[in-house]
Amino acid sequence: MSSTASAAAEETRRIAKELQLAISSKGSTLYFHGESMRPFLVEGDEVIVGPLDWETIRLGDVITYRLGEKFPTRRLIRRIGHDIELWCENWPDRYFRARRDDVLGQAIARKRDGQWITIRDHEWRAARRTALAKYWRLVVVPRQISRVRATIGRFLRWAGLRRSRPTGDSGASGANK
Amino acid sequence: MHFQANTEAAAWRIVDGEAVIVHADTSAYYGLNKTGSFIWESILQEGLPSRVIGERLGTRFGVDSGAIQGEVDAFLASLAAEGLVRDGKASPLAQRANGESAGAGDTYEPPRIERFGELEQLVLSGE
Repeated sequence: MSSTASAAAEETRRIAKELQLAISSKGSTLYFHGESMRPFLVEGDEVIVGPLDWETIRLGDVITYRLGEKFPTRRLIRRIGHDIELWCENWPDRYFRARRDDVLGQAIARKRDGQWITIRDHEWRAARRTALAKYWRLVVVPRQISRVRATIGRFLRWAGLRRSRPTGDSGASGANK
Repeated sequence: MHFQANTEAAAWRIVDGEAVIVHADTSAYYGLNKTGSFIWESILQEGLPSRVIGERLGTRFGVDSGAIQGEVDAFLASLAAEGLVRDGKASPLAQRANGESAGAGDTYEPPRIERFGELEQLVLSGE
C-alpha cells in the first residue's frame, strides 16, 4: 500500500474510532483502562460517553478527549479560553490540557459489578464533589498558601525585616539544597 | 423497496465529500467515495426507490441515469448486505429527482463502498 493510501486508511480509522465513541451513547459501551481515575473509574468499568455542551459543562465533569490514537478520560478542573485543564483523582500531581476541538464527549454512565450509575444519580454527584474537594485540598490550597508565603516573604525582605537570599558573585540566586 | 439509511445502527461523518460509516452493532467501518456519499446523504432523511436515486445521481453528475442504474443497484445491494440501509418510508417528494445539477469539476465515478474491517473494543485511556 502506498504511503498516501496508508495515510488515508489511517485517517479513516481515526474517524471511525471517534464515531465508535460517539455511538456508545446508543447502547454500546466502552471500557476504561487504567488506574488514574480510581476510585471513580477503575480498570474494566464500562462507560457510556455522551455528547457534551461546551457552554454548560461543569468543573468535575468527566471528559473524554482525543490524544493521538488514545482517548484519555479525566476530570475537568479549569477552563482556559478554548482549552481545558484536566486532572485525575489518583494522580494528584499531574495535569493535562486539551483543546476544545479535541474534546469528544463526557462520561454519562458507568457500570461496575453489574450495577449502572448515571450522571443524575446521587453516587455520581457525590463522587464529583469528593474529587473536587480532593483537588482543592491537595492542589489549590497548598498552591495558594505557597503564593501567600512568597508574597509575605517578598514584603518582609523589602521592609528589611528578613535577610535577602544569598546571591553568588554573578548575581545568580543560590543553588538549591 | 425504498432505500433509507439505517441511522439507528450507523454513525457517519462526511470528510472532504467522502463518508466514513461505523455500524454500531458489528463495529465494522466503511468508506464511501464521493458518488456513494452523495447517495448516502440523499437517503438520510427519506426512503427513495433506486430509480429516483439513479435519476438524482444523473442530474448531479450530468450523466445518463439509465446508463448508471446498474451501478446504483449494485451499490445499494452492497449497503443492504452490510445492514446500512433499510426499507424506509416514501415521501411525497420521493418520486421526483431533485434539481441539483453537476458542480464544476465533479466527475462521475461508480459509487463504491469499501469495508475496512471491524474496530476493536474501544478503550478509554486512564493512563
